[in-house]
Amino acid sequence: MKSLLVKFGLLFIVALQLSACSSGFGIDGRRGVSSSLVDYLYPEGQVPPKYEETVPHLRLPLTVGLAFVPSEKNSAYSLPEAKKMQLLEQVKQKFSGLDYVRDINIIPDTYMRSTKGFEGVDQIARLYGLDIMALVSYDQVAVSSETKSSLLYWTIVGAYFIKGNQNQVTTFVDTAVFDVNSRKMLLRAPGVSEAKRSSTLVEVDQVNRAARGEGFELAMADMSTNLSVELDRFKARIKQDKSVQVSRREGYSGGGGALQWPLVMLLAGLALLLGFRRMRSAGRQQS
Amino acid sequence: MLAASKANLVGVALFILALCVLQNFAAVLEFDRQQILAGQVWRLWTGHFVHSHASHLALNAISAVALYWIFAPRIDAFALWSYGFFFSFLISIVLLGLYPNLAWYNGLSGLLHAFFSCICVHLIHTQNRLYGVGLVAVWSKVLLEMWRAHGGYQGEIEGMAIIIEAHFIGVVVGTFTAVGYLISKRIADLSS
Repeated sequence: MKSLLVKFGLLFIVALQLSACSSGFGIDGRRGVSSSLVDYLYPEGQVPPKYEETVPHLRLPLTVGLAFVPSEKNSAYSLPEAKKMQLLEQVKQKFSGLDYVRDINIIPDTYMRSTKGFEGVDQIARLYGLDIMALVSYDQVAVSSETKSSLLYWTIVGAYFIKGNQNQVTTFVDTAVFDVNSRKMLLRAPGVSEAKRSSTLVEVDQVNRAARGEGFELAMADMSTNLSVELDRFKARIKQDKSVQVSRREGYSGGGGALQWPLVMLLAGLALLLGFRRMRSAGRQQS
Repeated sequence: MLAASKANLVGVALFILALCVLQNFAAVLEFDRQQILAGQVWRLWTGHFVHSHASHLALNAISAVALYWIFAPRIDAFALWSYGFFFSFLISIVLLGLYPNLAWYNGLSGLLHAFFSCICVHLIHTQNRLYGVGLVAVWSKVLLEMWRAHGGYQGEIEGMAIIIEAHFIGVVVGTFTAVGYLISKRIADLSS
């Protein structure tokens, strides 16, 4: 009986060790990284100012600043600076050909961290000579869960060869475009993505990192497409509601072909006169 | 006569209705250099049929109807459509090629100038040399506009800059198309 108890005790310790060994690999549960536009623009609980009836004035072509909103905490899940620059470069490439955009400047994270709030944005705008600023905030959640096949991790060898972990990464990015002078938001465009990858236990970290990178790439691509649509809508909207005043710097133009009122009145008068004469002559022919 | 007038009225009403409907899609139809170069070539044609705002639309629609009314008995519908297709494309191509700073354009007036000058040339040849007065008037108008623009004057309608270059191109395109057509017809007649 005593030896049986000893055997059970040993088995329990081995099982415990294996379990500890298994949970020693990779990540567990739900982790993520995010940055908040509101927290960045209104730090330390600042209250946004009351709505003002100022009309933003855009002088085309525009110099645009493009940056990620810095996250509050730097963690292992934060996007590396090099990756951020690479993602922003892709967005820049897509929009730098626009006729009403003179230049797009990518603002490094380090510049953004120095001063928060609109004061920080103003400083950067002065430094780069920006007219508008596009700030990209994000929220990414990475979940790694074990599937039924993870049971084979208990064999230890399974931890190396059995893909018993499902790594799911959900990413949301949101670009808000601000007029620097009036500090008003002109438009915003979101982008979402969901990346799923399975992995062995020992590869969880590596695969999760790759999925997080892919998640950002897909979300930024989605955001770029949405931003393009939003820009078209914005152009149509401001022509109608005049919520933004647009003027053109020298050497840049756009407009419509139109006849002015005096000429239109002259043509209309001539048309009426001819119509009247035609009707009279038709009446004479009938009689 | 009465039936023809009714048909004309229906045509005019449909035309104005079409302009109003197209106005809802102005963002995807107007001449936008960037988008055209990116492959949205339909804007070369459709840009002439959308407008910046209601006043712009009203001015051009009234002018179009007045011009149609003036020349109605002398225009056939097929010629109107085919010339419209040709002129709108040609004006846009010239704007695209010769005015690289022109980012966007909309409105019917360039096309109306082209129609007016083209019809005048045809009528001078076929009916009455008095139509030459109309041709001289439209050429004088666009040249005066260009001269004033060169001096720094910029016409505007409710904040929208008037692109007088489109008028000038319209008159040039309309006149030379009509002259070219008449010359080629004459050559064909002589050779037959």
